[in-house]
Amino acid sequence: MQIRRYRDDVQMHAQQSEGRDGDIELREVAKRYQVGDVTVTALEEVDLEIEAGSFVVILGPSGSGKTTLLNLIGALDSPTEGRVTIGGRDISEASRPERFEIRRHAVSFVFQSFNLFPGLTAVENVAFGAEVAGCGDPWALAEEVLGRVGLEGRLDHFPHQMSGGEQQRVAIARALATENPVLLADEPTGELDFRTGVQILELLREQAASGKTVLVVTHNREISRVADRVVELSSGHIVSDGPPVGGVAAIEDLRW
Amino acid sequence: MSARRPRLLLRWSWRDLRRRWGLVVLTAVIIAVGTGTFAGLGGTSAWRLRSQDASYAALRYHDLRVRLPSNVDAPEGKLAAGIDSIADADQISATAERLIVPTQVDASTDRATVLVPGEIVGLDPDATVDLLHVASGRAAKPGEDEAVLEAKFVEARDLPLTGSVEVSGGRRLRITGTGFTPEYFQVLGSAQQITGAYGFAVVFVPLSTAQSVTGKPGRVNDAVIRLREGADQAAVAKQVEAALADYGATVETRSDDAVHRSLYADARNDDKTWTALSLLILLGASFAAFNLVSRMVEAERHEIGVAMALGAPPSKLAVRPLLVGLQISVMGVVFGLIVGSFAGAAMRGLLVSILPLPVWLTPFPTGRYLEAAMLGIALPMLATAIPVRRALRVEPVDALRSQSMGGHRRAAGLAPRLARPRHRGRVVATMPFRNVVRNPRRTLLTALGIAASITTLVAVLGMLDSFSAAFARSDAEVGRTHGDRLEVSLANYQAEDSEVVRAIASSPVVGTATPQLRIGGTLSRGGSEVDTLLDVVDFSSDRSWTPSVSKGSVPSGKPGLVISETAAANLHVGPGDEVTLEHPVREGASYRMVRSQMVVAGIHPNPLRFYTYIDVSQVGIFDLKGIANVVIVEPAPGASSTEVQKALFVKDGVTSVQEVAVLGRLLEDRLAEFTGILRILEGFGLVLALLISLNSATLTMEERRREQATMFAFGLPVRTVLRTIVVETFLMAVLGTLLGIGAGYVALRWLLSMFTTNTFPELGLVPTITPGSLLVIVILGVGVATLAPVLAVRRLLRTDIPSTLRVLE
Repeated sequence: MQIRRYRDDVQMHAQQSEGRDGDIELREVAKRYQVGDVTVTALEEVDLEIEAGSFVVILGPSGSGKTTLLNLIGALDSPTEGRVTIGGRDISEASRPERFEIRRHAVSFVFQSFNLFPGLTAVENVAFGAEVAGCGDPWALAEEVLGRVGLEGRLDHFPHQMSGGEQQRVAIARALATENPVLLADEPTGELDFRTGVQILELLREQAASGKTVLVVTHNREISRVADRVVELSSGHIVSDGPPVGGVAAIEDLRW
Repeated sequence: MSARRPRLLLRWSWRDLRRRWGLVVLTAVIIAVGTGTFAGLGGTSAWRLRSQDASYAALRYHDLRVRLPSNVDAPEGKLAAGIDSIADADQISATAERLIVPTQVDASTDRATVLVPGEIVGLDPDATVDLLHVASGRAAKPGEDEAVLEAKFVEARDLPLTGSVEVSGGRRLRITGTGFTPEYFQVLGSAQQITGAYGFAVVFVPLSTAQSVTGKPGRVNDAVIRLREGADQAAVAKQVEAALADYGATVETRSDDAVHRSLYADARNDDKTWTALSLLILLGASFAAFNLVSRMVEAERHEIGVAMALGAPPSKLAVRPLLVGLQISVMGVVFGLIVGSFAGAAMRGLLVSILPLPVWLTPFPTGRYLEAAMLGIALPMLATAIPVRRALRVEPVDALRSQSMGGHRRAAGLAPRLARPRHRGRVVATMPFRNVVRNPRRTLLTALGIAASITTLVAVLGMLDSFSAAFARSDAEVGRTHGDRLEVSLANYQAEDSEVVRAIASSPVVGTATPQLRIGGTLSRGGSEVDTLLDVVDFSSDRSWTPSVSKGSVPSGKPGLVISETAAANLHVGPGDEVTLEHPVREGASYRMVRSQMVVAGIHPNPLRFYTYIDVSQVGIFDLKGIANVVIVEPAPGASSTEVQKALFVKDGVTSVQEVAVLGRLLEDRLAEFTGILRILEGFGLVLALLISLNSATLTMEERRREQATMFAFGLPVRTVLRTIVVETFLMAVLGTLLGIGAGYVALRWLLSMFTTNTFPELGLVPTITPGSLLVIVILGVGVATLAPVLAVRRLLRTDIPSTLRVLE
């Protein structure tokens, strides 16, 4: 009931603002941290609109604010200034329980270091995501999603029994199983070899093609070549925003 | 550079400590409780031995004591003259004559009736041997009807420090103070049975007062002698005995003094029990510290991997965690000084209240503390070294893998066994179970940490419960039927129809009076021997109390003994087996000891080993038919026990009138030292259990931080995450508590057997843990550990999800 209410709520918000579930909008967003007596500005005057179904790469060197941006969109953090909306709903001043709700029903994460539960098998890790999001039959969905990421033969394997690439596929499957419209990936290829990394990127692109909004944070400029749009950050500011230079490349053309 | 590196390592390790200061301090306190208890408790034997030596010296305890047979006395000065007349008189430094006479003491107050047997001890005020130590008030003045009452009796009976007592002959003596002489450092009671200070009053008076009160003017019946250093004690004793042969005098040395003997034996024997118990606490604390430090270092494995990847030599990497271990140890040992001082102060207070010595020497037991400190340092260091060694043996690439939780090949533990058949329930609900089996080593360490504290607690609470159960069994058995009966002890053997027995029976406050024979003897079989008090009872009668039988049968009207469970266990016999009973047989006007083969017919449940029963039909074997030395009476309808006591107490030939229910109280009094020390240990055990449970659960929670953050990232509410943690710690706590109860029960059995072997063989103790204690154990083992995560809910709420998720990357 609570889930249905939330979804109705999101839908209502979306209709009010005429946005779709996967739309993301940031207006004059700033994020500052107080470290002792020093104020550290992680983001400043960030304006960004992302349409549902886009595959966007947030590019930048270490310390540029890209992970902070992801955390704000993922409702893991709140902006110091400005407004963040997802699916037309303003989450900037969402309360703690509201942010929990958003993470359950609007966004999903894929982490650089996978963060799979070591005590759960692949299918259980994925079913966890589905269960948390309140999906009807988490197990059936988990098996189906794992099939989609090519792990139908590894359902009952534990994380330690799988390669890094397989673990990241499970992590993606876990995010997909939530059926949330926004998928946030923080350096998803960071711990993977090139070949595996490319497979993961392909998987993420497929998700965007199927209508999900996919945001990938990376410092790897090569990855940005396959994105619909590249937002480059430097010292907390957006320094460029647009399609990749030279157009969208084919996955097989990537090299790093 | 070379000087800078150690400083850096020290600073770094200090930062490690500060980062986990809560756990560090708790671990240090756990070490402190272990080392402090070990030092505080373990020093008592040395304290007692030194204090006893000093006290005996301070009161100029005699080397030899001259006793005259009962009812024999001598003119004052004659004993001293006889002693001075011996050839080796120059070896004697001081002599004092005394008059010691058994009496009845009525110390009743407005609040309670106190009628007990006792002794009047008449002392020469100018004597320089066996001085009277006045603990409170002042000494009694000669020529006045004044007395000093034995201090422990006053305390046990909760008597006022002022007032008076009445002794046999109706004389009332004003109490001027409380005190004791060296022979009464411990009060064993009449005939050295279990009466203790509670049931025996010693009245110290000037010699002249004693002579006046007892109707023996100018008479003495006892002398004490102090010898010069290097004197030939045996030769002097022999000469004194010869010099006083006309009086039938016997000369006793210090080793003949049961109090002196038992005080020194107790000090050594009790030490074994306390050492065992405090060692148990130290081991429990050490193991818990080992466990906690080990897990703290285990969490640093990733950092060690990083350093190894950077090319740091393993030997250098080991230094920092080892420094952490050392700092925790040192902190714990320093705290232990404080805990040790508290434990020592508690022990000192207890010993002083139980054993009223005039001099107490209780220095801090440095040697013992150093032993504990060495263990307190060595174990956490070992706890550090083992995981450091493990960490250094891991390939850097493995240690570096961000999935340190799952990167290790064996990290899934038993979890794969749960993979099939696939569990189709709620994933979140099953996570705690999977976490518990995923890493059996961690689960086991947590469970063993909790088990260590529970073991200690079970042992301590179990000992207290076992004592209480023994008291209760004793009460239940003696009060099984005719619970209001009283035991009237007669001065000597009397015919069942003698005047004194008839006087008792005819008293208007007495309902029934059953003369009974009670004799001392020895039961033996094989090499085992047990002293016994044999009561001749009429098993077929329902007019008087008879023992119940837990095994075998009641030998009503036929031969056979009913012995105690403890005696049966000590002699390795059961119903139907034969034992040898050494007992007196009348021979003319005297008695001789003979050995008779007897069948054990039944076993009674009274925990006191020395009670043995035989049917009245068998009294012929003692040739004491129609003879009694005890009369069992029941109050007449409408009469109270107190009235019976008052009425019978004044009768000639009666030495004591005691309610049977008092027996349990006397037993408790006798075991007061042990229960007191156990109460102190209980406190330390409870603190230890609380700290260990809290620490283990907190560590478990900390180890799961990243998983918790992942759950939060997926929007799982705090209550759900908390529930998974609580369930996980609950499962481990249940395992730990069960292990602890099992190990504690084994420890309890061992401790009880040590106690009954070394300290109190007369008492049969059955390992007992009451539901109340079990509840305390479960609350501390399961409840505290389970609720520990709830206490940390604020930290959980403040989890910095992004940084926690990345913290290991």
